[in-house]
Amino acid sequence: MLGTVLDLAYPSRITNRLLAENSQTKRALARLRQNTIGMVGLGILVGYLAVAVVGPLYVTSDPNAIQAADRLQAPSLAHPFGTDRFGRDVFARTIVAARANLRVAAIVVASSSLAGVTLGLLAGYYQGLVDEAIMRVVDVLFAFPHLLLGLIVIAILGPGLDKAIVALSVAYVPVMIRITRGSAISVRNEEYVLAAESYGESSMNIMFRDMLPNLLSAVLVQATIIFAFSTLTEAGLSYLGLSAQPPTITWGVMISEAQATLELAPWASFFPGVAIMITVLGLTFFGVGLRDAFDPKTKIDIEEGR
Amino acid sequence: MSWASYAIKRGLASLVMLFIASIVVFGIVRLIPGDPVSIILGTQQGTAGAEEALRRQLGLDKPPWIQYIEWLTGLLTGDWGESIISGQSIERLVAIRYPRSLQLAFLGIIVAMVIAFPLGIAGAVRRNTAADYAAIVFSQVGVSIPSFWLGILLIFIFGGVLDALPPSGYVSFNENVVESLRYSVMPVAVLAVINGAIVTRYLRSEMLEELNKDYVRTARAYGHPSERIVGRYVLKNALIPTVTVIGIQVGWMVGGIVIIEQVFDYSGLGQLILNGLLSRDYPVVQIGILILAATFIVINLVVDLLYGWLDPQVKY
Amino acid sequence: MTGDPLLDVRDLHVEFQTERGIVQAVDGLSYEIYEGETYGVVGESGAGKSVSALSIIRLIESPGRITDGEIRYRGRDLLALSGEELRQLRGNEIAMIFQDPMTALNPVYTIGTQIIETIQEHRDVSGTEARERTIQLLGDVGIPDPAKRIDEYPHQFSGGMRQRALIAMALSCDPNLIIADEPTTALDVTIQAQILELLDELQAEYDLSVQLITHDMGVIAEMCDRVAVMYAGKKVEEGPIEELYHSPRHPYTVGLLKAIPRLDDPRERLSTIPGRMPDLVTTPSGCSFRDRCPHAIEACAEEEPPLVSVEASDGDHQSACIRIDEIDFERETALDMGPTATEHDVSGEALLGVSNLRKYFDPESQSWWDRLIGDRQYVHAVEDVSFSIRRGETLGLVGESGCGKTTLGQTVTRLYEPDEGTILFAGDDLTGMGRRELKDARADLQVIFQDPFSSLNPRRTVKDIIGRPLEIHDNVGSEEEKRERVAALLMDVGLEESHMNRYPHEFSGGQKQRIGIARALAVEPDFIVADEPVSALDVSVQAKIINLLMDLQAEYGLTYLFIAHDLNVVQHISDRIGVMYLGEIVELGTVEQVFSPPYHPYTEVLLSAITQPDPRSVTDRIVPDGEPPSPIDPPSGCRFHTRCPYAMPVCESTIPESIEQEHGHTIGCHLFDEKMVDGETDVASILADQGAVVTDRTAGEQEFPTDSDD
Repeated sequence: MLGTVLDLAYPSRITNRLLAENSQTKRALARLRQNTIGMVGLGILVGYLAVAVVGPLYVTSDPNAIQAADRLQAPSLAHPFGTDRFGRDVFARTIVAARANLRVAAIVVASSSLAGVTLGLLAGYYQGLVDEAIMRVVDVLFAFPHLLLGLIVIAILGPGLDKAIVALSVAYVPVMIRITRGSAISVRNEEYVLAAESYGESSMNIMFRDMLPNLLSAVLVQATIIFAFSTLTEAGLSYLGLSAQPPTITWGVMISEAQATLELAPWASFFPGVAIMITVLGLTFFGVGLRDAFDPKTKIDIEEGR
Repeated sequence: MSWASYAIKRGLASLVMLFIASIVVFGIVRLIPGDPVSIILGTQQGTAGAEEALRRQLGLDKPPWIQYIEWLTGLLTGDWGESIISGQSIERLVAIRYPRSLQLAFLGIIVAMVIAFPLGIAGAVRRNTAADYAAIVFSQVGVSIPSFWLGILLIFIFGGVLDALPPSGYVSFNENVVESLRYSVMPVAVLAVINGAIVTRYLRSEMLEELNKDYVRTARAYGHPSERIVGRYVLKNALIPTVTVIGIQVGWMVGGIVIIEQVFDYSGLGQLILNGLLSRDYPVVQIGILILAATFIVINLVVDLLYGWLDPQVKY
Repeated sequence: MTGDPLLDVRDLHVEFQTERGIVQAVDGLSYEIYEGETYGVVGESGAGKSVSALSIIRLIESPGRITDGEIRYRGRDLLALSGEELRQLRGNEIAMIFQDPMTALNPVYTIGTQIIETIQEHRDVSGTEARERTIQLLGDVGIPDPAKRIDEYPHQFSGGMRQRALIAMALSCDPNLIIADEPTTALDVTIQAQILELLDELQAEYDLSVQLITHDMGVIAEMCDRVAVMYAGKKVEEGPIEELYHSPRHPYTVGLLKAIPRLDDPRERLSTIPGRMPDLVTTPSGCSFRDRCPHAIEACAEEEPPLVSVEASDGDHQSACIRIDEIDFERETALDMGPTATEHDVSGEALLGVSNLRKYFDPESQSWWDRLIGDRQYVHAVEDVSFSIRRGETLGLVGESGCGKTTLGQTVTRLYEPDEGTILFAGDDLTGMGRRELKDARADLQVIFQDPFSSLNPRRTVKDIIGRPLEIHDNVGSEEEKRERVAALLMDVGLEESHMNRYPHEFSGGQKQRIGIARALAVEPDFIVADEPVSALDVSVQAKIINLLMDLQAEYGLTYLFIAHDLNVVQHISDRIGVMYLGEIVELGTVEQVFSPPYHPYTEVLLSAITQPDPRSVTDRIVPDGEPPSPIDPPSGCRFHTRCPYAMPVCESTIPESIEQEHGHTIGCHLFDEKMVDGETDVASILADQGAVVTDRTAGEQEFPTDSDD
């Protein structure tokens, strides 16, 4: 796994193929390759994706199976991360939880981006009353911190992983709207949008063909950040018992279950926490690297905050 | 428009927000898919009488608007209802628990500022020195670390291995100041790291950005000493966006307090809400969330007023 | 020019470390400034002017570095000063004025605070004393009501007022030398005139030496005693102002002077300098101008030409050209500027007819609440404007920023929806058109935009950018045909077919503007609105684009609405001119009619405010009072009455009608309406005086381009 993380040439080839074609993107990638923090972030991200996608295939035994004989064992060759109070292998569970996390974060990012970018683009292109209507709703949503919004949704729907996904998606839409709208307004003022109008381009085409490609960098950066923070927030909700419920394995659930035996088996809490931290660290590194690569002079706004 | 009329306008907007928040919170019970009463009573099939009583207590026997008006009147007159589980009066519960949470949050934000300001400023001014790296590492780690896990680590180290601090629980400030603070050290530390990290990062990058502005060149061209340029001219400009971030951070803390209190078994408002959520004690959850939301709205009002005072360009 | 120089710069080298390598921004620059003189440094962007100026008080920041040279101020070596000594010098003995007054002041402190703290930094005075001095300074630089405005913040000041405040700051500690870096570039021409006049007065009053840095040959001609021309980090020519302008001895200087359109130029092609300034990463050996120089010979590549004295000067006129004695500069400066007469027929029928057009906006600061129910305000951007343009004609539209000329251009093409009025285009009413009809109409109605850096989508190739209008209007069947058409268009605008697959960032500003022109031409329009198409470009590039537009007009019989703030440019390309002030066209007529008396008072002010690249043309000018009022709440009656030198009581109350003076020449001013003139105003003498100033200026200038016709 360490090999994959450190082999930075390989991921950059992949992203090259995915994003190439456009010389601006090429230049951004060239800059990203020079950006140490960004490349470390990319390496971690690729490692994480590999573990989350491929890792669970190698977990052959049931990660929930109780092995009374193996309870509370310290890390060893057989159990690299040790075992918990039910004798379950923490390493295997950490890997399985990575996939659960990927699923949650990917859905949250995809749904909040889809809704946020569409609404933000509409608000930024049409401005006026459309903008007012969208932004006043956003204002109201911003009056509730993310976690509180999550608590409200869970209070209505009841605890559960899928419900947490809904809660987080709702919670991050306003951020995405704000970021997209902000960039859309500045792109709207570029003369090439006016030029497109002057030769009779339709509004839809202007929004999605002319403006969207110029917003994508900001959206991509923000999506990375949302990925990171939804990972953190979901872990928090899981820890509180409001998101995933055992036997579903998430990092938050693991830490919550292990807290009771903290002094006997600290590793059972330690490793899932490290997994969260590295994932989030990698994503924020990558996000910052991306931002600097896309736009070395003017700053793309990032909205952070958990 | 003067700052005062801006303040009034902004205050009215906050009132509207509060009103919307009360509707949202009130809507929780109404929006529950299925019949809230049977969900609350769960598998333990209560008697028809108990169900009926609960329905009446939740006000579900009346049309929503009448129920909302009664609920709101209750809120404003100090009758906040009772917990379904324990039967205790909610205003008593809140009166006990809320100050405990405020104590944590207040100390947390103070300590966070004490860390963040020197670190963020030094990081920006002395680029690529030890101070800068400290600022970067602190902010990166602090941003990425899960709060509850940091708490558990602290418990393991200071409560377990070193046995220097009580791992969990709460002692009232009035009862024993020293003990009370000892119980607060770890939760406050977690809050300080997490909030301090983001503020450090923002302050550092805002300072860096401001340092490149033309007015800094002007100040240098007119022979102002660098301490004044950094500490007075640049800092005030950098503070303006940072103040907003601090407001957002406090917002995180409003939710994060639920997690922190659970980690340290600190019986504040957060734990009250969490237990309410897990036991489906809706009246408690509603009031608890509304109070957190109100806190956030009030803090944001303060931040906005501060912003309006700091930034002469703010459009009233 | 006797005695020791105040400032003596010797062999200055400044380098910048960049991604692409080391840039030699300043490469061996030497000059000196004497007490009481105004020394100009002129050159195009990238010539190293600003960097050299910042180097004097050592404001060059990493990654820049002063690598070599000597800077002596009153004999003191500035490069050897300690940080503390340097601080004492800055602002106190040498003060700087920067280009962009919008960003040079700290936005969160009041104007007063910033000046007071500067005074207290260098002078041991009490707060009250410093404040009094600041109020006095603000008054000196012409800020009205200084005792009140001292406590205002920069955003409450207009651009011109901010520049005045910066000048007050510069004067605050009685410096000996002021370095002004493009002090008026960001300002409108009437405000520029005010600031230049102010600087002139203050120089005498405060006994100052000034180093003035600008790209504007006109400003230099007006202000300076001596001037240096910089090119690619080096000084290529230096001399007393008259000599340098009238007998330039470097091919670059000649090219620069000839590229500027002048007020009295006939409508003809402008002379241009081919190519562009080399990037300073790989400095070529020899003369850095040789690639663009019409007189370059092989010897020019061999070694860097030294600065040598021009014969018949006292050694104060120097030029860095090895062929200085071989080139016939007299002939060069007077040489015909290329084939004249891009003859075009302007007698056709009206292609575009605009009547009573009106466009209002909501001010940005107005909240939706105020818009819906509150006291709704409007920006009166275009107010009751009527004009027509004949087929094949160019109508120039000129006015200062905020006068509504861009809005007018965009409303005419219905990029903005007009609030009132009609637009007849080729006989059809544009205002009544539905979406589909309008889309079809756009094929005949195109726009060239102002900012080449913003008008091309950075994520599209040149082929897509130019080809897209073709696709929309179904003018191309196949991809192959699109390629061919785009290739032909690229050739038309002076680019190459191979440029087709590149992205906008790979082109220079001038080339980008050519791409924008090709896009406008793609659908073969009849009518093009050119919205400040050259204002973002350097002088030498500007001339090329103007020539291109004129050539295209001749070739395709285009009709232009040409919008610009630069009167020189507008008159050069236009057949008729409209002068705009605060949303209204105040004067309209042929170039000759507008540029000669009788004038609308605003036209007169504008004409007199223009700086001419000729030191002999300097005369007294009519500087208007104050600044343009806000279009949100425009003045009653005649909108110009608040600044008009001839304002009468009636001007405040009654809106003047446009009155036809002679055929096709209309002026909207009460002076020309006998019924409106009151008894005290002597219209006859005003009109007789009119033109005295401006005709003097143009007359003086006649000598220069024509004096060697024989």
